[in-house]
Amino acid sequence: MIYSPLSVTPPEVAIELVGPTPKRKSGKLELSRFIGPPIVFIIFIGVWQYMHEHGMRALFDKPGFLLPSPVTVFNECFVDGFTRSKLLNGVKWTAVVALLGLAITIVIGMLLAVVMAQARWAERSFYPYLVALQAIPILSIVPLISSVFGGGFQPRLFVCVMIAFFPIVTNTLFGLQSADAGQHDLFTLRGASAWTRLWKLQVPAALPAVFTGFRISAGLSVIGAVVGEQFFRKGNKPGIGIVMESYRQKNNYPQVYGGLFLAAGLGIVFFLVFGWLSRRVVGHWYEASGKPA
Amino acid sequence: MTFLVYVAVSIGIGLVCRPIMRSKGRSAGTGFWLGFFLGVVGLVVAVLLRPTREFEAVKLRKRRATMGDVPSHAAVSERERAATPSEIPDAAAGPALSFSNVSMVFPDGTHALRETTFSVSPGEFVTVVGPSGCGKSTLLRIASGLNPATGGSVSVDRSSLGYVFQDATLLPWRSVLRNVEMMAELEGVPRDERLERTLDAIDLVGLNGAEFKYPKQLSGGMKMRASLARSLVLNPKVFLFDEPFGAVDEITRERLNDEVIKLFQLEGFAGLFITHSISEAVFLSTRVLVMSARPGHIVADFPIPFPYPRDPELRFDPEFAELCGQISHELRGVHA
Repeated sequence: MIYSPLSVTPPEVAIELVGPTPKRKSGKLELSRFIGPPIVFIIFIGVWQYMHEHGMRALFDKPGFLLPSPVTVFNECFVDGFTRSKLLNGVKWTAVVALLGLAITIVIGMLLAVVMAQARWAERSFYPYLVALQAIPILSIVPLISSVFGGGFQPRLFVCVMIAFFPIVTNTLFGLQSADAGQHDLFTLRGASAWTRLWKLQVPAALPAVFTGFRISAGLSVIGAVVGEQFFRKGNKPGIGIVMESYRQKNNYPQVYGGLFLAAGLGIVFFLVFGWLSRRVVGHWYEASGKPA
Repeated sequence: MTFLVYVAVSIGIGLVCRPIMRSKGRSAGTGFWLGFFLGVVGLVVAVLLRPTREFEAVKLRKRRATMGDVPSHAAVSERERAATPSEIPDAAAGPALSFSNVSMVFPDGTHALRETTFSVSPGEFVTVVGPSGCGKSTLLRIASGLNPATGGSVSVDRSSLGYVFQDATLLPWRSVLRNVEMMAELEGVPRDERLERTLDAIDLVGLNGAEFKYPKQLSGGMKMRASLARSLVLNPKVFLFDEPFGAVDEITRERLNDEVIKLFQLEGFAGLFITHSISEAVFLSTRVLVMSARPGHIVADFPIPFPYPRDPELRFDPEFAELCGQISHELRGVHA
């Protein structure tokens, strides 16, 4: 994920907020959209197959079954009904954790950002701890989390929220502060209250940045959910991380790779959904800078 | 406020669901959250389905069209005023805006204004010209109360103050209609009256047909028109213009100047206009004030004798050129 934990203004905020432009005029570009990705996909599959047959032996001196071939992965995971339902069930629970975690993150994170935007001192007071939160190696506090929550559902949510928190707060804060001085003057002229100013000026002005934060955090929350599952495997809600881990212990490598693809797919779906939502909500008025006219 | 009402209603629905769920053998907590969730979803749907302001505007336009030419209150008063263009409202009541010995020193030590004294009466259109950075804009910021002066006194009725900034400062997430409406909205004008006045103002500045566009779809001139209309909705008694047409091209600027004169005649406000264009100043005003370099103060006061309405051809009148020459001369003296 691309975001810089040390600056208040994430660089990608200004550059690419509402995803790829829906309509491009050049026919050449249009063609490259349909031809480019499949070509890269074919190359990717080719390299993978090569690594399976010769690469693992030649480069790392390891047997090829550690990296099963693409066809094997596909057959074992998605053609075989039992494995498929097990994996999909895992993805379902991961999605539940990630969505719940994201919802909690959005509510807490945005409230915190609103508080921080109200006064300079509030921002100064909270910001160092946000950076600290971001800097904590999640894996090393897992034992501490488990000593409080035990295993199961809640600690997974906790890890998820911790990982997804920072981009939401920084992007919302950046957005709330992005209304320009002239627009603020307008509200000052008519003696608008802080509440009116927040609701009618700062929040709408923040929306494009807020959606960027959503997209980044949506991807991170999936990662957080899977990481959480790798450590908190108790309970009757086995997410994809738990399923993958149990397959790995049995040396069922194709299933592990299949789970990996599903987890990545879930992250991509989240990312796309929020990209689409952001285009729906702010696309009709927001001009992404740096976009060719 | 509405937001808090929504939350309250959702909590209410949640509370109603508690006993219902309990009677079905589920826990009260689950019932509450289920009801709360349903309430939030329902309200979001209701908000999304609510008729948009744009829709209401179209309806009002249609109603006005079918009622024949029955004009709204605002339109009536405008027509009355248009019938007697030379009427000067309440000149006896004293100046609408007056500065006496106003000085301004910014916290960083910049001395922007020194001992500035002048006044603008209702029905007067005063333009201030001066070298760049001489504190012209500061003058308006003091008049509007955005910055308090550090010395002297300002008297102005700020209850209905029009202010057009250098940039249009439209809110990009609002359509033209909602942008024009905004000042009245902040002022607390009731919804229906606000819409009437908004449509009047839009017609007045010639933005009819562009109401539903977003600022990113507008040209520079149209943005300035929307910005003008936004202040007009308040029926301002004092209208401040801070170099509003500096960024638009010459042709658009001349057309906008005609519009400003038209509005001035219709509304009879006291105008205070800042510009760096001498011909624009002479063309628009009843008086032109020349300011010195920083710290700025008024060094000359030129009454402009031409009657309104002013013809665009006036710009090529020898007398006009003569006046421009005098002001230009005065400005050069200031620079030296």
